[in-house]
Amino acid sequence: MLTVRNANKFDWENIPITDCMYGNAMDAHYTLKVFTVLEEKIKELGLYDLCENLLSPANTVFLEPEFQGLNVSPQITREVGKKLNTSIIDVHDGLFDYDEVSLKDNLSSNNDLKEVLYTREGGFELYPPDKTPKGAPSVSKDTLDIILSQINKELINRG
Amino acid sequence: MAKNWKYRNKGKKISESVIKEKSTEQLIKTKNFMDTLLSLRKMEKLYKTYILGTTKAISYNERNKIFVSFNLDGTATGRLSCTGYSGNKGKSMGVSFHTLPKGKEHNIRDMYVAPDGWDFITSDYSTMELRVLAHIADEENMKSAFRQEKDLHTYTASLVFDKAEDKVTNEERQIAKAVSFLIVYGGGAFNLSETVNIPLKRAEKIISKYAELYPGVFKYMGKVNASIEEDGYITTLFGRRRNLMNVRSNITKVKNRALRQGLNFTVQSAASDILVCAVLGIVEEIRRRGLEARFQATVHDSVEFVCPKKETKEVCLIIKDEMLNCNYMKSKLGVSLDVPLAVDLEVGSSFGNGEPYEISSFN
Repeated sequence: MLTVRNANKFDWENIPITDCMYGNAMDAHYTLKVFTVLEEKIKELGLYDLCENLLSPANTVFLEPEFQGLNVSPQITREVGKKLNTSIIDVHDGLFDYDEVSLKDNLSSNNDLKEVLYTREGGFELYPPDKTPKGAPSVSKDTLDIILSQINKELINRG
Repeated sequence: MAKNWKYRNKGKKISESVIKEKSTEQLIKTKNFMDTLLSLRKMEKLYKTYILGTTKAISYNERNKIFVSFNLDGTATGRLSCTGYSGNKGKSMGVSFHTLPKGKEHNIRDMYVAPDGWDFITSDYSTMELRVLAHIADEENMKSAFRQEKDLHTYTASLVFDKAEDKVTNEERQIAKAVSFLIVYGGGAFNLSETVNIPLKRAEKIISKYAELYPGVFKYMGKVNASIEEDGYITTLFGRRRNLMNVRSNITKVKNRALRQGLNFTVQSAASDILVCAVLGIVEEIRRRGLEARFQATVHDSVEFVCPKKETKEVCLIIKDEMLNCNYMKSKLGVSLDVPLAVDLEVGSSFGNGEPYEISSFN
């Protein structure tokens, strides 16, 4: 709404009805003004058909599922969540079977992971192929993918 | 490695040489550790985004429903995007449907269900982007493979590796698949060797064989690149336009990126618009017949509908007819494809448990 700043944090539930009406009227007023300006430009660019026959009707059609929502089964959500959580715990525990990981390590912490992979003696002792914006050794997915691809390549070369 | 580590520009090369010094046993151990670590991160993200996201949303919404917001112009590539609806004070009323993973072990999609007594229908376009590419590039060999209802990746592999289709291994099919998609995304031999872990020389050979096999694709790529360089923008089959002013950059990397984005845009955006047209056609027909069926969402190349069980057959027929014949697209936008489209239809009680609904089921 044009009259509201920082819409994401605004308390919409308690907006006074007069403010709501005024804001909506402003939105409608300026949308119409913008439309008359843009309509010409859209025609000029040859995009009128696309707007009229695709985007405009699509807006209305996609509004329906937005309004109706999607049914969720809380029971299945719990079941899937429980199963996933068990797998997370199992996989997480399995990582501590490696001699390179100490029981004190928190593998969700980038600092600890940095030590396990790169800096600690007795760790995996790899070299980080990339850095973080602050210049520290990166442990992001992209960086780990680079290392993995280098390892795979080396293993293939060795047959 | 020293604790006071300082990044050097040749990080990748140093990393490679460090890896070369390690024993095979150490490398296998490291690889296993990293694979497990990445799979752990993936599962944690899944849990946080979908299990916690959905649980929080239904608690906020005070009913067993989530609400999403579709954005028809939210991506530069022209694809639809979708986010959880923003509730009061920025609280999310749903989760993004477009990133909803398909998994057998942890079937997140199973959480989203049809109302009692209703069916959940999912209809997915198969190899959509490559069909669009075959059409816009006017690539006869590719079009002919689709017309003969061949599995394109097996067919491509059989020609690239010079063997009968039934002799193609899974690995060869995967390589052929990777080449096709890399081409669409503007990748080359280097990316192929990285993606499927094959030596660079082999990747180069495969790409050149692919170019012999589908010359139209490479001709089209050249045409798109020339057009972007001349105009600074590119338009799709539907007239959507993407400005790519970076093509004028003096930095080769930036310029090449703009060219890749342009090529990708012509395929992805058109594929997305075909899907939106299908949704419009299906909804129009459902309304015309006065059915209760409701449109639910689109995820990648698929459309999702729910309907009362008594309507399932009729709605499936409408969906299949519209998605295959593109009636809306032809009549309202004057666009038609000279490549047949294919859809996989599934029906179940939830988004995740659908079973294939074969054409014989209609009889």
